[in-house]
Amino acid sequence: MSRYAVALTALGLGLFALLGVAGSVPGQPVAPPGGAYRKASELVGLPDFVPGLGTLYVDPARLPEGPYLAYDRAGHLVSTVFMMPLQAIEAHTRFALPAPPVDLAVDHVDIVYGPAHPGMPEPHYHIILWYIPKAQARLLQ
Amino acid sequence: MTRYPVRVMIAALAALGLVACAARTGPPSSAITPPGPAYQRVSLLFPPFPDYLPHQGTLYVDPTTLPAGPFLAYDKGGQLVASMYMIPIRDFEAKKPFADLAAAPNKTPVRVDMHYHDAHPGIADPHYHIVFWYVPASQEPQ
Repeated sequence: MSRYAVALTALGLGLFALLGVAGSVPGQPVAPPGGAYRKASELVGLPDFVPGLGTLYVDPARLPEGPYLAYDRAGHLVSTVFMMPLQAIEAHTRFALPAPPVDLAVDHVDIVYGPAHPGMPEPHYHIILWYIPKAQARLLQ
Repeated sequence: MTRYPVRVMIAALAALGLVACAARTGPPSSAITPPGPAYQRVSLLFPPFPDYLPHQGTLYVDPTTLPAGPFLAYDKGGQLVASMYMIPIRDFEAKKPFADLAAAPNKTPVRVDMHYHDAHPGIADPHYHIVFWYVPASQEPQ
């Protein structure tokens, strides 16, 4: 192999690796998620955009616990949400739920109370796996 | 520019790219034990908590995050298999928020398991385990 070919190969390899690094945090998937997921606002009458969470999609077969996929106003995936009724917690119910195939690392987790709302007629807890930083999550209004 | 500096630049670029690529694909710090200086083995913090539990593995926690955690669970090979949060039932009943809990870096779960558990060393109240698994059920610690 000539020196020129070796140099070109090295250059190509380096550029390829650098381009890969530029996308090292995989891009946030965009809505709609596809598959069995449907907009929760159309299924259960939730607002199209839930302040603090975003626009929720869920597989109707997974209601009411979820997982729900939450998107910001630009349509970027920001979190996965599970909803666990307080009554079920008091009854010591076990939940074994699939996580959606999201290729994003979890940034932080919230486990917070939520009152009854369309689609979840009982007081419950939200378990939220955020893919975005806390400061960015607080802007979902 | 002479041919020599061009070759050096190309070699440097290639090396930089390869090093960066290697850094990208390297294991996160919490993927193998020990997870970091803040985390301590639960069995040492709360004896007689077992050092290894079937379906959980060996647990580590940053004591400042108790009782919620996260608890990081490792299999016998030292690989991170799950993150676990422990929430007392009475905190659920009091509608207490647990916000901004830490997550295992660079991990996303493949499934979630939430189940009741009686009090045990380290968690004095009945509570729920909220477990984010990074491995399928067939690879849970036995």
